[in-house]
Amino acid sequence: MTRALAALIGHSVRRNRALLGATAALLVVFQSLAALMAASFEQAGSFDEIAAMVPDFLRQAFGPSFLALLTFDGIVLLGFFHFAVIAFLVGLAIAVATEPASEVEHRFNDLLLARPLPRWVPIARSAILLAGVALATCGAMCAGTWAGLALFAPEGIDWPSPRLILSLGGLMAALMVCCGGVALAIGSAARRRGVAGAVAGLLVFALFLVDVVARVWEPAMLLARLSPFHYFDPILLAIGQPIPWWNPALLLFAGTAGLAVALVVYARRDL
Amino acid sequence: MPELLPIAIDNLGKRYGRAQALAGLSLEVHEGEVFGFLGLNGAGKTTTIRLLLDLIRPTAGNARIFGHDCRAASLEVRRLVGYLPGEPPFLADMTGEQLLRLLERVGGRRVDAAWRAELVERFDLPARHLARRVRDYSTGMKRKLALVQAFQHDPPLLILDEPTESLDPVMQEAVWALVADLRARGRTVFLSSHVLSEVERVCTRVGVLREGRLVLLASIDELRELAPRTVVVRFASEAPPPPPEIAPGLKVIGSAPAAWNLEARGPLGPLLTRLAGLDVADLEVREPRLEEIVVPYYRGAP
Repeated sequence: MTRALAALIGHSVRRNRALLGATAALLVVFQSLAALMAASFEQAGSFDEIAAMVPDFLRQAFGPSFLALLTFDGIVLLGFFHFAVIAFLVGLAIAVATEPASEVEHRFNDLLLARPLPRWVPIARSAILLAGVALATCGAMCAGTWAGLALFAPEGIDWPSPRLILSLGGLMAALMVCCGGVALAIGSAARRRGVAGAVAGLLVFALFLVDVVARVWEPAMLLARLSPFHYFDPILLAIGQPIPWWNPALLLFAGTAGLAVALVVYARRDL
Repeated sequence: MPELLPIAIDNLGKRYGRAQALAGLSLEVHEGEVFGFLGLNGAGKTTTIRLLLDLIRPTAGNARIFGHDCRAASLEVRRLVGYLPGEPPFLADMTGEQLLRLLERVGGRRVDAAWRAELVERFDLPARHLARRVRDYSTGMKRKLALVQAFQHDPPLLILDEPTESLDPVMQEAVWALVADLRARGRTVFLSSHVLSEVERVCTRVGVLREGRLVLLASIDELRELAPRTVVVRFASEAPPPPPEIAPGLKVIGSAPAAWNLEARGPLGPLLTRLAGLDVADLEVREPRLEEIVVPYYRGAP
């Protein structure tokens, strides 16, 4: 069965290699450019000027952590908490995790599962691929950060610690696994990839909004505990504050629970 | 020890919500048979095939393939089956070669290279075609690729859904020749088709589904007995008026100035006795075509 699983993983990687390669390259370049940008600001002594230009309402809206990001470390680590990067990587995780729905939609399963292939194999394939993509993309961000620092960091400046960079990468990977796990559960019951992706995307977006509301409105706090973004706070990490160890653990647990649901649903459904 | 039937279906049923796709289907297919599974679109043929492969789950009854339950032992079942889907479901960005290799690896059985080479040659899919992406294939080429993947691991049971759909006449002939060869080697073939003339030529037995129910199950020979033969008696000169009753089993269905058209069930001896002494120029006996027998079952007439 390992041979069949390996064959399916290889098949999926081959089909998506251009997208995955381009994503990893973009992230490496982006993080390297962030280091170049930070070095440029540092050398020009611009951080204080930029902080002085931030209007009061922005300081109040984002809190003191916002100014803490306007430092060499904060700019170097920009990709780990930039909304566009997070949204893209969550979208990528959802796309990877909904491959079983695509195989049902195109009836490719009629060829695969007409062979002695247990139904858990396509789901396990997608779960392994999801974990691999999360590690590869977040690893690319870490690698890009180090590459940028090695190339562009001014002499004598302290780099963000490897532990911090790896923690940010790990937290981002945990978020991808969590959202991908939920998408895998939805995709295992769906007949169309578009529907599965849209439902998973909307759900994640709704949970993101719940977390946004809860950060400024106390009554929503209880509901926010259901949101993965409640446990995903890279800014805290970036400004040097620890986050509880169970935050990434809960994200990984939610992703694993999604995988378990997917295995059960896919094993029982009509294809 | 009882024979392990290639296919044994017992009271199989499938519902989709309130729609009954298949109801109380029971049939057996014996080793070495080529079984034709017929019916209009939506009659339940593909549903039956997908139930056999455990792609969908029955709401009643069960099916066995070589003694293995299609639900409880579906892996064993699928190890013994080669399947040609009705619509080849390929991923357009794969090459034909990649697809065949992937399905070989997923299938868990090594494909005999010589056998695959023979299939590729029979279906006229040279290496340069297999190296192209499926998106560049014509409909017929996709069907040929689907045929190769179904046959390539040389399984003891082949389930073919519309095997000659979108193939040119030469390739249709290649398919039937291959089916005949496989049958000669003891393989069993279960196929659905709309081309009744071909079914008549290659199948040993047929079953007809109508609205999810089996309405006819018979061998081709039995089917022929169900329908009368047409006999045309041509006279050298003007035909004498046909008698109202020639003999038991013989009925006049029309006459022309120099011919009688008769419908015959049973032996023709009494007719020949009657014709003795008449100026008969020619006698034509036409066997009923499968269409004439089966199509009324499609529509619910018999």
